[in-house]
Amino acid sequence: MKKMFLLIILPTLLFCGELRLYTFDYPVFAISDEDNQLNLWDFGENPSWIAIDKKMGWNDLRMLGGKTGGDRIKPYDPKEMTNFHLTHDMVRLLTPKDVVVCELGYQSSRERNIGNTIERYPERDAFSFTDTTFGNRTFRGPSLSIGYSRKGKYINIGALFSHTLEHGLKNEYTRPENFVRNFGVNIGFSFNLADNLAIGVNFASSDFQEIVETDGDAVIYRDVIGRTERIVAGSGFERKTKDAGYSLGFQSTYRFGLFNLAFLSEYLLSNVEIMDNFSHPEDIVYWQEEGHRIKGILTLSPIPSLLLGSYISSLKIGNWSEHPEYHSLISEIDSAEVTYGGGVRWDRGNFTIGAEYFTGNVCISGEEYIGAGHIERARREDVFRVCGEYYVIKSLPVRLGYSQRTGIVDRVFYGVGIGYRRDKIEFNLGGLYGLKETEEIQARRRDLKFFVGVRIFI
Amino acid sequence: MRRIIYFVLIVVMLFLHPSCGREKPTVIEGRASIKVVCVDTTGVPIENAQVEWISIYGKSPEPVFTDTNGVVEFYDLLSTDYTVSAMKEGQTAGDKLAGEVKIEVYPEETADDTIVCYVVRLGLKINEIYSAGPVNNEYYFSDQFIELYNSSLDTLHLDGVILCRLGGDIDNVTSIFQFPGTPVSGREYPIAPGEFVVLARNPIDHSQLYETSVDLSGADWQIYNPASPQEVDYPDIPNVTNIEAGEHRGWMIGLSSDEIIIATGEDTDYLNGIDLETVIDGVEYQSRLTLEQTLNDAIDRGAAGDGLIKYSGKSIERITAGYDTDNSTVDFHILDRPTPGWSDNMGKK
Repeated sequence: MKKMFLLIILPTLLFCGELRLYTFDYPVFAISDEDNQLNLWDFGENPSWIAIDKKMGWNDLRMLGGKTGGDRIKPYDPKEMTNFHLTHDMVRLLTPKDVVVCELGYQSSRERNIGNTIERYPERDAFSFTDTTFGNRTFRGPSLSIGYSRKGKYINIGALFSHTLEHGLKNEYTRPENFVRNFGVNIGFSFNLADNLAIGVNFASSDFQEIVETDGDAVIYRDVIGRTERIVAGSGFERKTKDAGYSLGFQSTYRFGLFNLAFLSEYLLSNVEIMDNFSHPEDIVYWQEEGHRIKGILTLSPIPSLLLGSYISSLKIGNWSEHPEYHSLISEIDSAEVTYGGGVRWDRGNFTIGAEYFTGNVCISGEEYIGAGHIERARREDVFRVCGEYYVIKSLPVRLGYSQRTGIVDRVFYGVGIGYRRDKIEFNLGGLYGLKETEEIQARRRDLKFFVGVRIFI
Repeated sequence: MRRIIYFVLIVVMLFLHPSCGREKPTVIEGRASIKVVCVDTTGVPIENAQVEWISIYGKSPEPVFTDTNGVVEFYDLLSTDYTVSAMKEGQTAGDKLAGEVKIEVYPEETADDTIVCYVVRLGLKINEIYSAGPVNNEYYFSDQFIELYNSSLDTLHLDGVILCRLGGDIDNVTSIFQFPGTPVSGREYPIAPGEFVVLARNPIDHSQLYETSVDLSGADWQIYNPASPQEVDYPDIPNVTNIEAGEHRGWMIGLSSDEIIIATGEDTDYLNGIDLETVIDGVEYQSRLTLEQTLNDAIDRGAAGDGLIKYSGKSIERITAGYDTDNSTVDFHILDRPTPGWSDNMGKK
């Protein structure tokens, strides 16, 4: 099997594309932004806190375009990819207690010279589905997310729904056609136990489904049950992948003196069912993952212009897969990931600078009863970020971001952007350049993105 | 106090939500085994018979030979359906023994069964079928052909023999062509022991049109329908002629799946099917083994052509010329290039 470690699919939360943070590669401590605060929404993704987090209403229009290309680092990387996103989101304060958020987006991506894969996300599971052709393919589709939150004296409630659709077509015979949809729901409650103490729980669920259809005479390879099987479809072929994920989380924030503490604990469950339909539907494989995540952040602000932060997280996942027809175990693999780090931020009037560093270890062990046998792997990943923002004039900030990741694939990221805010209008413009490298296969891949956003406050 | 009770109730409700996962299996995949005993038709164990398996996951990596008790075992197998075949070479051409058995294997279990081996039938055989057409984007498959082979030790005769395409089984004939001459008793069209005969609709050099096509200019017979307006009759080549009334199409067979038989020609009343007793040989081929096999077991117990791709320029041929255990799954293999008039393992004639 090529891969036996699936990230549990979390609900698709579309309210995360803030351009300012994007310029800096989403720092935790190095830059303070309204979208990375230590509260139950930004930190814990509990929608009941939206009503408290959003102080103003707005309309926001964003456009993002990008181009990625170079050597193939992963087997199914396209030689070149261009993508475009257009998003409109809005926040409405219906009453001082009720907030509605809504986001409507449309995305388009074109992958050139992509090899073999006919699935939308070929590396998301171990049971790949490929053909023998290289070609270009296009994916397009809308997304919608809508949420409601109400704050009370003691109890806050909130719910968020998201729905994404994508349609894809590869221009090479057998012209595989993809129909992808993802539906997510996130329901949360939170309690203001004291002015400086809040706790919350949320239940999130996502339901991903992809159907791949091919024309007749498809030559398809499916990697399943430890072996690559060739299928020759005389009159077309269809694969349906159903991936359901659930998470149940508990979050807490506590402020005491100069300290701010946030804690999160999550139970995760995800299962994947793959069904192929040649002449009749056939259950190919079932795969289940169960995990637990703990995350904690502690910040200290000894003086108003200085912030020190520390971070720790742990994620343990156990997964297994079965041959559905015989209910027999194909593999059982456990992984444990621990990440810790810290950061510092210094604000001085019109100038902010920050840096942070995280290091993580992932240990994977288990058995693939067919194929690789016993597995024992460990890897380390480090992330370093530096961010700076300078207000040339009162309403015109200039931003610079740099981050470096080292691991199986090394990645360097440069971000530059400017903003403008006057009265009720905010404008953001930026660009990113990323470079991925891996010494193992001597491959290098470049990533270039541009974005522009206009926000009108209400 | 009340808000704490509310909170606790909500947390309890959330954590008590029904689990959406399945029970983890207790048996492990890939640890099944097969144990077979090979015997002849009198029940005597066959020593040193070569045994192989085939399943949707592939074939056994290497053949294994039976011990003195006729027993052989395969280990570390995946759970699925297997066809296990045995073959024992004899002292003379007519002494070859072969047989097979279908076995379903369950996880962590040993499947026991017996393979009864029969003497391999000799006679007139459909030795090669080229149906897929060459590599092309114009849907060209006019280069299809069928090759016959005489695996017996005697000269046989093609007089009156019929070539049928079936729609599933012998009770549904979808096309029927016949050699000239009198069935069974005719002696005008002999085929010598070890001789190949090629039947083609268009006996021309198709490789001039497509590189991966085949030169059929040396075909022995043209499969011809005089009623078809598109047909060209090549006068130097004798015809196997359509005998279906009202049929205006030329001969063709399915590119990746079909059922083909040859029969003596004693029964040509195709409307009610062909009598089983008159069938000389038959082959079912299909691009995937998991499709349902439809041809009568008395003619062919398994289909050939697993993995045969349309417009690939590939053909299916018996693993050795004339080798026939009446199970095309084990009797045939796929050739990258067709070999009209010769066999891949016997060289060109």
